[in-house]
Amino acid sequence: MRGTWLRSIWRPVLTVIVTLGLAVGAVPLTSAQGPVEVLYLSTGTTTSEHAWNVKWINEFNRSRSDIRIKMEEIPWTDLLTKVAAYHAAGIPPDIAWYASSQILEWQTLGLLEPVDEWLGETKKEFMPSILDPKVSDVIFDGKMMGVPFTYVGRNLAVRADVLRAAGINPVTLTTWDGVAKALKASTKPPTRYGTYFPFADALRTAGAAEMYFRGFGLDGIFDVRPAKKADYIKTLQFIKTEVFPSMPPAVVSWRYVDVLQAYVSGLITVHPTGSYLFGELQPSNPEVMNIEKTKNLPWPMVGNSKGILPMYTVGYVMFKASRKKKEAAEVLKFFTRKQSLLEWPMNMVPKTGVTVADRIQVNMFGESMRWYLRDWEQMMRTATLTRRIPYTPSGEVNSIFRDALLKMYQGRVTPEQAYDEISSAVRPLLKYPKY
Amino acid sequence: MLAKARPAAPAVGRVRSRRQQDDLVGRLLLLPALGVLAVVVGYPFLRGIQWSFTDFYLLKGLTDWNFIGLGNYVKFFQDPKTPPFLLNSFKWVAASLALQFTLGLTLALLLNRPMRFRAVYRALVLIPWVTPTVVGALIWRWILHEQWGVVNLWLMRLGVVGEPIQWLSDSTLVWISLLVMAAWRFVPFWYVNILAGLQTIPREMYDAAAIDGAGRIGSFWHITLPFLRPVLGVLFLLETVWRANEFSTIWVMTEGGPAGATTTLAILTYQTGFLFHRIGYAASMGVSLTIMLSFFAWYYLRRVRMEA
Repeated sequence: MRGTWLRSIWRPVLTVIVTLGLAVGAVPLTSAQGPVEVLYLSTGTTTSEHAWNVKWINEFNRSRSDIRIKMEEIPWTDLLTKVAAYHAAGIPPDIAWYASSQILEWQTLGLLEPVDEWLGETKKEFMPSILDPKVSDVIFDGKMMGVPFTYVGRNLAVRADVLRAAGINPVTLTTWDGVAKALKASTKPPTRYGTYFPFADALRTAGAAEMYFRGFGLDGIFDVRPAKKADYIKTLQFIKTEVFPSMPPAVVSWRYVDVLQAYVSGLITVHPTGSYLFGELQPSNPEVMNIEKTKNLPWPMVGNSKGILPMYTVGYVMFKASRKKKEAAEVLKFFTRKQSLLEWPMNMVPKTGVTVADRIQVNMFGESMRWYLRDWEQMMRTATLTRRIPYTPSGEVNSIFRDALLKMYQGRVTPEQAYDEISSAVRPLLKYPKY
Repeated sequence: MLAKARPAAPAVGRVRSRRQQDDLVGRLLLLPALGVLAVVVGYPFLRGIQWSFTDFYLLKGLTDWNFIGLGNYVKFFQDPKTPPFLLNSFKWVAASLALQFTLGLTLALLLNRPMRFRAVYRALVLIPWVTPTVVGALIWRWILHEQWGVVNLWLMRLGVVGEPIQWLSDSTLVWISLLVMAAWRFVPFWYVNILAGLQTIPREMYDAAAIDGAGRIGSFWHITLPFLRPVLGVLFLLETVWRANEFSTIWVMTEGGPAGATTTLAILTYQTGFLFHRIGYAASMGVSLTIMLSFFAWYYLRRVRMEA
């Protein structure tokens, strides 16, 4: 009996044991002998960002036999959750992209490794403003917590061809009166509208609204200080009377992709955006990203005829819990060499001594980018550069703001009621800035 | 007889012992799968329950949380925003099931009849079911897009409407859009199961009923539906649970909008946990949904058993 039983069972049991053994054994066999793997979380998901990432990762992996970069691409909105999940699992990532709100949130949580010492002398190559603790978004308590790979400016892109056809000179959009007139003149439903709030996307709604709030003297959509209440309501009033009537009704269900399509098709004329617009649109819509059709302008600002350009950086952070800091630092140095940064398809290079000609020579867009970079060079010379102020918890604040703004758009609340709704919900949540 | 029966006893014992061996082998072979399930389902489930009693908030700390008892549950059920979201979940599940059952049954009855190219039609109907949900939802989003969607384009070209219909921006129309998309995607599953059920009904039943003077409707009520009851029972149970947990369709189509009009409990849980990083509170929502669905399943199965 026993013999029969054993005979019937030994095959399946052995199969299971061998399979499990092979699966478990395979991991240490490969990782123990191979190069050190650096886990890199990137949020560069557009076509040109992805291409740039892949090129330099391949280059690095080819040039180093001891280190290998493993990239994971994730959307901005999931970045914190992903980083948290990796930390909770005991396998912290080594490097990740940051923008202003991410670096602030991670720094608040104590997750970041200061990169000063790891960078050594190379940090001196960065623009002084980026390293100035008063204006920088990467310096915390005098320590550099992130390595910028790009310097981003927020601006206004307008469809110059559509405005001209409506009898408006694009440069008049440097004042709020000019913006109001342009919105009115370029709105001819159902094929032409002035601007938008993509209400299905809280992050982008807050991003588009930022222009109005900064331009009316507030720190941002989160600036609900009682002392600023009148300015906040005035901004909402401007949005209600001048902006809402120029928006297509479909904005209620719009996301960012709809915004881009609307801008490209000429459905909307005024697009509060950033210096990344060229890299975003050029690969798919070069017919719109040219000097005839797109004009870049700084944001209008009450009492400042030059306008403002809120600036921030996007770059890399290294995590304190990383077990491969030495290797991660090698990757950071490689990724932030002037050579790789010159090829970055978007925004400005955060290093000193870079000219438009330098970028044209090596950038993937070549000559077609010259007018765009020149626009930016000129704007940065003439407008007032200011720091984009990050806030946390950005996801929840953006959502509260979007909900109130949408209610105002639907006529369910007045600007005063919208302010009350936003301020009462946002003030107890704000971890930074503390108002 | 007795003399003949005696030698049979060891044979019965052998059969029993053989069965026990097979049973043991079967259990052993299940172990790896159970192990994987314990890791990827059991552990996260228990962890979720644990977190639902904590104030775990990612922006406070990745491992820094305190037990707060039933605090999250009390907050959830006292929040004035909760009833509308629960109502949305109920509306979504009830309307989806009603529409999908009706269409699935109709299709199955149609394609159960002899006709030319029946196999082709049967295969075509399954296409939405094999299309990934996200892909299907994105396609429908474009079809119904107010500005560039093909539905509005044709309605305007044909002069049916003068201006674009706000399929995804109007808080009533958005439900119709969602339900149509969900029906397109999930009706094939109903259809294929009901069709399988229909094919188990003996033809003689209908012949006998016809001889007794039963009409088509009478046969449907007294033969088809009773025979389909076990299949429909399983379908309603599974679909209720799946629709209540539905995330991809709603998220891709509307992200819970406009203004929370299509935010169901599943969407709210995702937003709270993954966008606002309030893990403890989101876990309590997920656990509440599980409890509600478990209660429903228990009640439903009990009714079915009692009726049987």
